[in-house]
Formats: sequence, C-alpha cells, structure tokens
Amino acid sequence: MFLIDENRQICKMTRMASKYLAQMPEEIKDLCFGKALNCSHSIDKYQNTNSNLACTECSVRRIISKVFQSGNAYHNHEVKLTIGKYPHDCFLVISAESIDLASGRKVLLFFEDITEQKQAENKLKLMKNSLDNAQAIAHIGSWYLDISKNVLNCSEETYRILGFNSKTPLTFKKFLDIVHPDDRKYVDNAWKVAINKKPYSIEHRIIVNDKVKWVREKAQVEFDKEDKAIQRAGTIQDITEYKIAEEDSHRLQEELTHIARVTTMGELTAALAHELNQPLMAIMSNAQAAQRFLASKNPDLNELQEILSDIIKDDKRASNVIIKLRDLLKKVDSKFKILDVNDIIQEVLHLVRTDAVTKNVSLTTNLTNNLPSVKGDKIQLQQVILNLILNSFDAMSSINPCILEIYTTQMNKEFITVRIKDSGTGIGEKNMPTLFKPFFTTKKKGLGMGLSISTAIIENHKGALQAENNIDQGATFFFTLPICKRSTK
Amino acid sequence: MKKAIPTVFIVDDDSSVRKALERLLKSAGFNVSTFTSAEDFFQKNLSKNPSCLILDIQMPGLNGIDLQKKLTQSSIFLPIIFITGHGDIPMSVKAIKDGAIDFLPKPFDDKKLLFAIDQAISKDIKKRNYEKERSKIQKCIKLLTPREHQVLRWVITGMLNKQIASKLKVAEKTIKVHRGRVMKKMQTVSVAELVRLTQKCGVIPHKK
Repeated sequence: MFLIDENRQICKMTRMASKYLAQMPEEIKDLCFGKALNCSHSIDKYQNTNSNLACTECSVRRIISKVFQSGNAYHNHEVKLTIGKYPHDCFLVISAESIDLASGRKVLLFFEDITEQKQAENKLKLMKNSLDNAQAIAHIGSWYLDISKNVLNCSEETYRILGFNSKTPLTFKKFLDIVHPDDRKYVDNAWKVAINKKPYSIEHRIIVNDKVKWVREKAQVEFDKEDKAIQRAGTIQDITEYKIAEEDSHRLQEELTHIARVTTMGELTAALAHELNQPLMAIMSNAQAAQRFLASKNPDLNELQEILSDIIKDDKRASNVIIKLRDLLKKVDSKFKILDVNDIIQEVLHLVRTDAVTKNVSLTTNLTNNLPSVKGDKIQLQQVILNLILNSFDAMSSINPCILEIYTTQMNKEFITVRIKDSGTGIGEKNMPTLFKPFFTTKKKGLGMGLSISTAIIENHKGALQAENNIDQGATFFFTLPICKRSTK
Repeated sequence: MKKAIPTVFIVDDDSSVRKALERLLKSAGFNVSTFTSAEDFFQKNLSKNPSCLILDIQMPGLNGIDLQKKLTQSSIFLPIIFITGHGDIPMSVKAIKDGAIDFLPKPFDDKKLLFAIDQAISKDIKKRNYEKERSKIQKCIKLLTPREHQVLRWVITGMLNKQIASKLKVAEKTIKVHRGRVMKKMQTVSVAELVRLTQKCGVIPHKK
C-alpha cells in the first residue's frame, strides 16, 4: 500500500510495498511514483524500458489522476507492469482510494500481486492447449461423468468426435442416442457392467451427421469410501480410419484365404471328379436299364419304380457333392457361428475319402463324444483341416503304410485340440522354424501359402496351430480352439 | 446244345454303381454276380460259363490294378473291363498292356459297355475252347509210352522213318510201328495235323 500525493510522489508506504521500489526507500524522495518503481507499462520485454514513454499510456497513472480529480475510489483493476531494478513482469490488481488529509488530498494505492497465480493460470492454459492439441491429433477425447448429477463433461475433442457443439450440455442418455442402434444395447450393457468394477473397454459405432463412425472407449469408475460409484472418467477415440484400414486388410486376408482354398481344392479335383462320376454312372446305367425294361413286353412296374427312386437318390448325392464344393469355392465373408468341430471334420473327410483310397491311405478318427462347441467360421476351419490332411497325404506319398489319424480332445476348460497325425516323412529339423512362414514349401507345385494362411485362420479364431515330429515316424499338426461359452448369443 | 448264359462279374465298392450296373446287365440278359471288394472276388470260385470281369480301379484295400496282377500271377484267365471314376492315361495304358479288354471312364453308356462285354465274352469263349482242345491233346499225349513220345518228337521234325531209325539206331520197321501207334493215340492221320496239335501243347521237336 502506497500513500501518494498530488505530485504522484510516494509519501508513505507499507513494508510489503517497499519491495516494489527500484531504489532504497531513502533515495526516492522527489521521484514520481513511476520512477520510484522504475515501472513501465508492460511491453513484454525487459530490455530498453523507456518509462517516460510508457507512463503516459499507463493505466496506473491514469487511475491515480482520476482518483485525485474525482475523489472516487477505484477497485480491482488488473494491470500488467514491468517493475523494479531488474525489470520483471508483474500481474497486479490495483485499487485506489482518495483520502483528504490535513496536508491535502492523498491517494491510497493498493497493490495485490497476482503474478504467481497468473503464471499458474498461464501454465494451466498452456497445458490445456497442449492437451487439446494432443487430443485433436490423436483423435482421443476425454470425458468424465458426474454420476449423481448426471452431467457429462467432455473435452473439445470429445465434442468434435461426438459431433456436438461444445456448449451443448451432455448426459449419458444424449450420448446413447447417437450410438448406432445395433450397438446401443451392447454399450448400455457395458456401462452397467462397469459399475461392478469391471473394466470398461469397448468399440462401437456412433452416427454423426448421418455418417457411421467407429469409436473405442475406455473408462474407469471412481468410488467413494462407501463403495458408491461417484464418477466415471474415460476416453473416447475415433478409430474410423483404423477400422476402414482393418476392414481392407481383413478383406485382403479373406481374398488370400479364398485363393489358398481354391488352390487346395485344385489338388482334390481328381478325387472330386470321382465323387461326381459315381452317382452319374449309376444314374446313366439305371436310366438305360429302365429303357430296356420299358422296351420289353411286360415291363415290371415295381422294378421301374425302384429304378426311378434310385436315380433320384443318386442325383441328390451328386448335387450334395456340388453344394459342398461350391461352399468351399465360394467367396464368402467370414461368419462366426457356434460349431461342432467333429461335424466339420466329418464333412472334410467326405471330400478327401476318395483321395485317401486312391493314395492308399488308411484314415482313422478318434473324435471325442460331446466335444464342447466352438465359435468360428465353418468354411475356414474346413480349409485348415483340409489343408493339413492334404499335406499329410503328400508327406506319405513315398511311405508304406500310410496311416492318418485325426483326434479331437478337450484340452482344458478353455480349449479343445484337433490333432492330425501322419506316418509320413516328418518335418526336417531345419524346416521347423520356417514351416509356418509364407512361401515356405517343400512341394514342387506348392505355393507355400497353405500353412501360413491356416495359422492366420486359427489365430483369428483365438487358437494356435503347431507342429511336431512323432517319436516313431511322421509328424503331427495340432491346433487349439477356444471353447464357446453357452451364455454368449 | 443250348448256349450257356455268360456271367458278368462286377467288382465296385460303390453300392449305387454296383446295383445300377447289375440291373442294366441283367436287363441285357447276362448272369450278374457282384462283389464289394477285390478281396471278396478273389475268394470266389469262377463260373464254368463264359464270363468276364467289370472291375473298378479305385477301391479301398486291394485296388483294381492289384487284382489284375494277382489274377495273372495265379494263372487265372478272365477278360477284364476296367471302369474308373477318374483315370489317367498312364493308368489306362498299363491296364490295356496287361491284357485288359477296355478301360471305360465313368459315366459311360450301355452301348460302350455291352460292346466291351461282347468282346470280352467272345475272347473268353475262344480261350475256353482253346483250353478244352489243349487238355484233350494233353490227355492223348499222356497215353504215349516214353519211346513213343521220343519217336513223336522226331516225327514232328519232318524226318522219314528211315532217318529216324538211323538216329535211334533201330530198324526202320520198328519206327514204323511206333509211328502208327502214335498216330492212333493222337487221333490223327497226317503229320501236318500232328505238328499243329503238339505245338499247342508245347511239345518240342528233337534237335536234328
């Protein structure tokens, strides 16, 4: 606090105020206020402070003059001044009041130094800016939900992601409204579960301006001492681009898988032609036998009836082969369904049986009854099994006897295992590390994609594909698949 | 004499095909006998009637080609028509070289099959007649004494009695008697006929 006379000279000051002086208190006589403080209106630069120039513009000077003239008090004016012998910027809140003393009108000038507060504020602003920038760059917004008040506080980026004006007050309900209708139940459930201290980490779609966006959300619930949920803090990330890229790569992978499947099927053409020609043969002979019967004097109608039903039966048999073939050759998006692996194996065996006969392979199965179901894509799993079986056939082409055994077992509570064991040449020690790599092949006509794609398929099913040599002879390829819990879907 | 009905054997592991072919061939007037595997067929006593075998190539266990080999090894003659769901050229060449009548890829029509069966059956009849004659000649040859057998082998070289007598150092008259007996036992009148018969049974003429 300074006491200032009409010449703007300091008459008195408190001890606290003296620290703003540029000179020793006894040297300030005859110096006007600005000189005594060596203050200048801040130009945000410490060098070359020309106080004379700045003083005419100075609001402090103006305030002091005004108060002298009007006698009215002036309160809480915030100024930024450069002050002192070693000039530094100060943020000050100044108030001035006139008092009429015997010696004439004086002005009491109060300084409230808020520099530190301002600096902290600036720092905070800087941090907020940098956080906002980081959020904008990363497309990650943050939010927290006050559970008792049901108010959703969001960062700029969160508003941007959700497509709301940043002044819109938000609630969980409002958020849920823009969630894709197909995902709404899923999101709502995830929120409910999170209350029970379960981690909340979900990916879902939202609809913003009629466009579908993908977001990833993570959140934590904070609890009070009584274990009551009080607030939820979380992040929301715009992963639309990532999802599009992922879908593209998924599509590519599927195309590659399809190519591999067609290639694998190519190896089976001979066997499949046989599969088709058998019923065609039967149909032909039956039809021609029927013609002969009809040409005779007393055709046996019962016999003809029987012939016709046999023809129908064989026709169905042929079309079944074609349906299975078409399923495997068709380009389909992968569909995860609940499946019985034993059934899948049986269907594959149906396709390779003829090939096994031609190649003199004895095929046996040891399938565990009541094997738990798995969730997966039937065609892709068939492709893996088919690929492994055909590989085994190849490995046994110069071996006698050729024995192929297929086992299914429940490994533990989580997984089932499918093992395909052959009596072939086994896997060379040096081939072991590269076995599952793309373009690895020991076959003359092989693409080298079979095992690498099979691995990708099994990993996509959250299982693992491995190989080992048998103790006696040949190799065993085995893969695991997670057991599907009944509760889901 | 009533002509015997030929028998067609069918070996195919596919029941539909087996049944359909059986029906077709029965309607064409054949006796048909079917088998599900090469092993089953191999244990069967063959028919006395003219017959042939329709044999599938791809079968579990013993396949068609194996059965053909086994039959040859066991000196069982039976004309074979191979049928196959999917055969390749090397396989068919080998089958034909090893004496198969035909090699029919499924599906084939009845004309092709019946034509092949006709060929097979007539080959079987021819073979059976040949065998019949051969065993008749064998029987005649068995009636000969060792000396007569020796004379026979000289006679079929085309030598005169005088020459044979000189070779065997006996009287010409003796040879004449032996020759007479040989001709009688072999039921023939000319040397030319004798040569034909002995050839069929693999009797080798003496070296001159």
